Amino acid sequence: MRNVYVPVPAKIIDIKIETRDVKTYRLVFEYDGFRDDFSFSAGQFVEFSVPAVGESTFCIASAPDDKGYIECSVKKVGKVTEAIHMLEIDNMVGIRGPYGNCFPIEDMKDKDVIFVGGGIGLAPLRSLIRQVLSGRENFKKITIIYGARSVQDLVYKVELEEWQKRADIKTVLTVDPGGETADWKGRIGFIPSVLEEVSPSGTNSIVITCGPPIMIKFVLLTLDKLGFAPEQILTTLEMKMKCGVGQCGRCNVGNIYVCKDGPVFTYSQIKEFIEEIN
Amino acid sequence: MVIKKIKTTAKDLLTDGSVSLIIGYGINGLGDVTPVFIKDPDDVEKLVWNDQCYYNLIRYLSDRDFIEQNNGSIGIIIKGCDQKSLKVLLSESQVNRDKIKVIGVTCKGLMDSDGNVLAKCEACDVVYPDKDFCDVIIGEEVKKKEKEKDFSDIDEIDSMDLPDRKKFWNNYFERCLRCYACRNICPLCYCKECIMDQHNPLWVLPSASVGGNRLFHIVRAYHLTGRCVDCGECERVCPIGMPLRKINRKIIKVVKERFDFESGKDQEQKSPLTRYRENDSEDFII
Amino acid sequence: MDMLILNKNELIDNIKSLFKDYEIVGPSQLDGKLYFRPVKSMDEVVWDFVNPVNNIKDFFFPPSQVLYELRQDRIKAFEPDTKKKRIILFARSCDTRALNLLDKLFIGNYKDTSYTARRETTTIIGLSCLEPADRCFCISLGGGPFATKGMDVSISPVRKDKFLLHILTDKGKDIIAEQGTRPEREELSLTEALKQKAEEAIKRKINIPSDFFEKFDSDYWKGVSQACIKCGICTYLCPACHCFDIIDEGYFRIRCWDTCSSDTFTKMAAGEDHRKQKYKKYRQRIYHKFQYYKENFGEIACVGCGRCTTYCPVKMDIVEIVNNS
Repeated sequence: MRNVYVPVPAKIIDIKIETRDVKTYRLVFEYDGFRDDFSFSAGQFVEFSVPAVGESTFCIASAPDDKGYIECSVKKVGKVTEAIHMLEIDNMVGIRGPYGNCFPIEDMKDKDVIFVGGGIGLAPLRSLIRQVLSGRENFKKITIIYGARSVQDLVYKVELEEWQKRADIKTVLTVDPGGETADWKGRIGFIPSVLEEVSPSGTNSIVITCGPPIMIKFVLLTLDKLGFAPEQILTTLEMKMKCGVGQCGRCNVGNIYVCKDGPVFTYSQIKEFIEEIN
Repeated sequence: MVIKKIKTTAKDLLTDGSVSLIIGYGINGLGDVTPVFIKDPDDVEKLVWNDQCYYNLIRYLSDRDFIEQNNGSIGIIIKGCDQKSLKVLLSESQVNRDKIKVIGVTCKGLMDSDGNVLAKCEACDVVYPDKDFCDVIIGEEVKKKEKEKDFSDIDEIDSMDLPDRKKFWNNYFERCLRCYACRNICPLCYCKECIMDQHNPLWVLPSASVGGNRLFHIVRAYHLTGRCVDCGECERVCPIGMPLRKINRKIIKVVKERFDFESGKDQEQKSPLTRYRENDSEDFII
Repeated sequence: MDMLILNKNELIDNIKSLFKDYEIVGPSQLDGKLYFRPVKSMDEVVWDFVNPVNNIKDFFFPPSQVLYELRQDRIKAFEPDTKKKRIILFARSCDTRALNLLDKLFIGNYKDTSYTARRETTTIIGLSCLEPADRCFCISLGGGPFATKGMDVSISPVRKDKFLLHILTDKGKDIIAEQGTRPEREELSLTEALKQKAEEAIKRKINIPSDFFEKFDSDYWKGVSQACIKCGICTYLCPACHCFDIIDEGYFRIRCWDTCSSDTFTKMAAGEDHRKQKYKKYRQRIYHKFQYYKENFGEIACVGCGRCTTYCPVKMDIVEIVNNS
């Protein structure tokens, strides 16, 4: 019986600098068996350990179809993330997972899918977007609305360009007023107002949104105005987590554990949460 | 009767609007004394006064959560030992004297559950709180006894060999649960973010290891140097019975010897380690 | 279920014979207080007590344990040393019931390997409560002074020097030697009478109101939590509380006890905290024990031992607070 707290070693094989405080790490598991067996679904997360520093929760940003490696995007905010940012290629880290529930991709088939992301919030969405795009024919209209504080803060710039080039999805990029550069070709405005301009239809569609709490708050108001019901809105929640398996009690809200019963929830489920969490 | 006067004083203060809240002693479902917070003048019946009124209620005046929830004037019932910690808080500008009404009560000594007088009460020199400091005094006036502080138990430990002393203290540091009851019950431990809760950088490990526990207690004692008034609450609440007063009193003894200073006597005087004067004997901060 | 009668000397001899092969943990005095701790002989064991300060969860879910060592070139897991089997002596029914509650979490979806290993190699000898304390309220939560849930062997008094043993599991069978007599009807009724007397002595009842769930947003919690000082005593001394923290000490990853009352429990890296105020923390503790644990695992995470109220620095009375909510 494997001890669920002991991580599996993984090596960093690539580091991409996305913005001034976000880096994406590509990790390969050391043991062949584990590398081939590791499979996950979009929305799940891993616990990332840095030796002698600590452990932190990150959603898997690579696609489930990317075999052999996983990618995590890390924003520098505290002790562990600072230490991660100092790691180099070939450094070893520990990974536990995958934990949590996943996006219900089956429920999205034959529907319009709208992604609304802000800042680092695109990380969990990226996994799902890539999974959806690899089976493009199963979905109706796909819209990606993504924005950040400034052009500098946009993540996955390479992917954003690819998505913009595709004719079968609508990609709308925006930066906050004041965050544009001289050659910025996208929109300028806060995400909720851009969402209102794009005005996707609420009929037979599903919205997946992820970003800073203030953005989510106004996006939800806008979606309500556009006619989306709470069951049609999905998001991933961020909470302080330690064990990742529903035992330590940190992420416990009401009778759910965000690590075990989430982190993906519909807005109607979140409304039922007894406590108000951001 | 003391309790009758306490109730009438509390009721008057609430009714005439001088205070919006009274902090005093009440009874819980088991019949034990517990702190009570009274807003309604009719609730003053909940107040009690007996030899089990252990709590240093001043603790709530420096508690951030409490201050946030209650920003009106507060009436507080204090014993002589509590008064000392209030004076320290005033010297550190943590309490606005105009926003509190101090109700001092004469205390003849607290008893533990076996009927023995508490050790700190046997050494008490403030049975009767200061008349010119409190807004109201209840109880008979008792002449102040200038007692020589008895540090014989500290001397006993000081005379132990180092290995014996280590064994004595490790017996407790091994069993300390790091519940932080001692820190949280202390009126003078009011840091917004305690050094023990900081994770970046991590100064002391949060887990209950001997080394970590030892460091926590020593750091806490040092942060109370020249401030601790030996109200004894920390030792009372410790679930493993650690003699915490000994640690703090050792430092109280040294401060008295080196700086001729006793905390809690004068609310204008700060601890010698937290104040600067032109004629300080050292020419630098250490 | 086997029952037998042993007199006090026979019982002591039986337990003495176990010291050779087992590590024995029992209630013993230290610095004037009573604790469950490893003992070297029966002389250290106290027979007449209500309940020690700590409880038996310490021996399955220790205050601090090393999980593994994580370095650049290796990961080494630490499992508890279970070569030496262990016996816990004279545990009360409230503490053993609490252990069964913890089993639901630690041996649930994800089996905690060290907890499971310790459970398998520990035998629990329980002792019925003759004189419950004023603070006890186990009956209103489905327990009782003579209850046997969670015990491998239960010892109930018949008379001053005579005891009735129930051998409840195979592990219990392994440690009780072949001796003693079958209980007579008279002896059983003497024990029954003592049981009645003990049950009647428990006057305190906890009574969770039927609309407890709806009271979540009430201002009641702001009022009752005012005295709380946010320490960890109620959590750490509670036999059913189980939240923990995972931290790094050098290259070792350690799991240690934690309390939802602490300031850092829900605080995130960048400083956000959705449960910053004290009343929210206190409310979470009450609801987790009396509502959420029941919804998730079917039972209330409280066994009525009363330690939280007795050792609380400000004597907050959980029964009063829940009953009046």
